[in-house]
Amino acid sequence: MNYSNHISDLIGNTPLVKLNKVTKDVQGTVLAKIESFNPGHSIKDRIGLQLIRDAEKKGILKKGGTIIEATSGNTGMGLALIAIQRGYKLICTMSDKQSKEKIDILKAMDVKVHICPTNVAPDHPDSYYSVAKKLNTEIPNSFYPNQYDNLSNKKAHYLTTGPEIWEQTDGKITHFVAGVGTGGTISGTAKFLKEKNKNIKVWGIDPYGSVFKKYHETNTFDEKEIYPYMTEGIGEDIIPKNVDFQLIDLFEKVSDKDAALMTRKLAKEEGILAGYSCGAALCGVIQLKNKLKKNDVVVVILPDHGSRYLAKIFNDEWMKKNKFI
Amino acid sequence: MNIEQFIAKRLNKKNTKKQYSKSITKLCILSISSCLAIIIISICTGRGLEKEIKKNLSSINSSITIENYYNLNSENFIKNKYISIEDSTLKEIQNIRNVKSINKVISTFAILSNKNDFVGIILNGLKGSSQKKYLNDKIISGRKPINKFEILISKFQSDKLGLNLNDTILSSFLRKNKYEYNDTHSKLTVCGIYQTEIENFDKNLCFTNYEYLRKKLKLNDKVSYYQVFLKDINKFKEVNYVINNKIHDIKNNYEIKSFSINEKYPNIFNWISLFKKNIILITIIMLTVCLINISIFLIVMVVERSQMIGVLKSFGGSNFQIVKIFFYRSINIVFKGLFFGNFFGFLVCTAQKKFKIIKLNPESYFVNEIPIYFDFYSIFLSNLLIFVLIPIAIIIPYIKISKLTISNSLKIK
Repeated sequence: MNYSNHISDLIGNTPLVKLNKVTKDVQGTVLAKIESFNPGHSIKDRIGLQLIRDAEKKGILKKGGTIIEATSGNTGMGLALIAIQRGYKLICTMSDKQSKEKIDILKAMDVKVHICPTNVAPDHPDSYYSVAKKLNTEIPNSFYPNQYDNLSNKKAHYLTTGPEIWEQTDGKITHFVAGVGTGGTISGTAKFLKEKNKNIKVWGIDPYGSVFKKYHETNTFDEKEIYPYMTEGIGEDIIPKNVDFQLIDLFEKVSDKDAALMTRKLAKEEGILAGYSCGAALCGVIQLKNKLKKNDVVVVILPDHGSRYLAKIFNDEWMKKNKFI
Repeated sequence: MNIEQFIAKRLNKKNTKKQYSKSITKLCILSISSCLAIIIISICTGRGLEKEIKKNLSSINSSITIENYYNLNSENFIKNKYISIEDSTLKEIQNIRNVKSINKVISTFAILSNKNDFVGIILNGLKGSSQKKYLNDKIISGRKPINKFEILISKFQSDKLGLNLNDTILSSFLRKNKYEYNDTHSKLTVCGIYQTEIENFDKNLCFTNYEYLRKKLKLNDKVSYYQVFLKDINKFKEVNYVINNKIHDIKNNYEIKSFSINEKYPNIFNWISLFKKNIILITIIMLTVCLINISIFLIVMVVERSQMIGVLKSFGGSNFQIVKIFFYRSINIVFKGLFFGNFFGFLVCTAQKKFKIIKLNPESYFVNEIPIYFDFYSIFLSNLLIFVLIPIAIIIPYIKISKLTISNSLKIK
C-alpha cells in the first residue's frame, strides 16, 4: 500500500512548472515553484512543521500547549496542520486587511482567530504582533513561534525549498526570485543555493509601502516608506531577523495594481490559480527582464493558492472599487 | 685553438668600435636572460602550485577513498550509503605497497545553529592509525575532539556563527539524508578550530568523536567511507587500481569501490593539468623570442662584418668556416644570457619561497601564497633548449654569408 501516515508527511516536494505565455517577452526559462501543492495550499506549511519541531526539540513547546502566532493567514494554516496532528491548540492574530477566505479557513481548522487593525504601528498594543505577544504572556504553557525572528523559518527553506529547487533544475538555476515578507523563504533558499553556486542571483520582491528595498539600498530604516498597501503576505513595516540582506542581490518594487493584474493573467493564460503575492513575484521578474539572458534559468516562488483571494483580486467589483480595472 | 675560435675571441673583445654591435649584443643577452628567467619562474610556480594543491587535497581528503559506488554521485561529502569491510581485507589493503594508513570515517549532514544564525555542515568522525596526525597542521586553536559532545569546526564556521573555543552550539543531525526530517538535537562544545584554506572543506566539514557519532547514528560496524593515505601521494592511480582489484577479488562486491583523488575531484585535477600546458606554452613563446633575438643578433653581426667576411673569403675561407666564427661568437652571448637568466630566475623564486611576497586568494587557489618548487630537471632542459637554438638561429645568417661575394663585400664601407 502506498499512503502517508499523516497529511503533514505531504509537505514539500512541490512541482516546478515552466511559464510560457505570461513570460513570453522574458529571455531565458522562467520556472514557477507552485507551493499551493502543499497540503495547506501554501509555502508556510514548510515553516509550520519546522517551527513546531524545533520548539519541541528545544523543550519550549510541551504536550497540550497552545501555539500563538501573528500571521497573514498562511502560516496559521501550516501551523494548524501540525497542531492538529500533535494535539496543540492554536491561536492566530491577523491584520484586518487579510482576505475573509483566509480567516474562514483558519476557523474551519479549529483555530481561534483575533483580528487586529492594520493601520497601527508594529509596537502599538493593538497591532497583531503585540496582541500575539500579550496572549503569549497571559496564556500558560503557550508558545509564540514568531515566524519573523525565529530562525527555524529560514532553516525550513534551507533544508527543503533550496535542495528541491537545486535538484529540480539539475543545478542549472541562475536566478531565484521570491517575495519578501518574514524573509524566511528568500533567505533560507538563497543560503542553500548560494552555497551550491555563489553566482546565483537572488531577487527580492517588495510591495510599495514596505521598507525592505530602501533598507537594503541605504541600510536605513525609513518610516516614510511605510504606508498601507493591499498585497498580502509580502512586505513589512519591520525588519525581521529572518531577512538576510547579504544574500539578496536586488529588491524590486511592485505596485498593488500590477500584482493583482498579473495574478489574474497567470490564471487566465497559464491556468495557475495563485495568490496575490504570486502575481507580485512574477511582475518583478517581468520588470527585470532586461537583466536576463537567453540561457538563464529563473525560478520564481508562487507561495499560495488563488482560492483565498476569490473575493478580492479575482472579483471584478473589488478590482473596480480599487481602480485596478 | 683553431682559426675560427681565434677570430671569434677577437670579436668578443670589448674594445670594438662598432657601437651598434655592442648594443645589439647587450640586447641579445638581456633578451635571453629575461626569457630564461620567465621560463624558470613559470616552471617553479606552476609545479609548486600543482604539488601544493595535490598535497593539501591528499592530506585532508586522503589520496584514495573506499566507499559505496553510488556515493560518488552524492553531493559533496555526504555519504548516504554506509559500507563495511572486514578487518582481514583492511589488513590486506594496508599491506599493499605505498599504503601508509587507513582511517574509518562516519559522516552525516547536520546543522549548527545559535541564536543568530545557522550553517549546514557535514559532521565527520574519524578512527584509524593516522587519525592522531590527521589535520594536526591545520588546527589553529584548541585540539581535535577526544570526548563525546565535542566538535572541531573551521575558522569559516567559527566566524560565521561567532563561535570561540569552549562555546556550546546546538547541532541537529539529519540521520537519513539531507532531505528527510529525522533529526536529533545535541549540544556540542567547540574544542578546536581548523583552517585548510580549501573553501569547499572549510565551509562544509566539522569533526566530532567517532564513537559518539557511531552511536548517534546507530551504526554498528558500518562506516561512510575509508580514507587511504599513501607514502607517495603521486602513486594514487597505481595504488587505487590494486585496491579495487583486491576488494573485488575478496568481496566480489562491485558496490564497494575505491576512488582515487583525481576521480573525486576531476575539476581540480583538470585545472592542475592546465598548469603544465601553461608552462609548455610559456616556454615555447619564450624560446621563439630567444630564437628571433639570436637570429637578429647574428644577422646584424654578419652585415657589420661583411668586409671581414669578404677578406676571409678572398683568403680562401669557406662559408662553413666563416659561419663557425659567428657560431662561436653566439655561444659566448648565449652563455652570458643563460648565466644572468638562471641568476635572476632563481633569485626571484628563492625570494618568493623565503619571504612569501606574492599572496594568492585561497578561495580560488587553495594556497595562501605562490608556492615554489625547484624542478631542476625541467630548468636544465630549458637551458639546454636555448643552447640548441643557436644552430637553428644561424641558418639565416649562413644563407646571407653564402650570398656575399668577395667583390660585393669588399665594396661595402
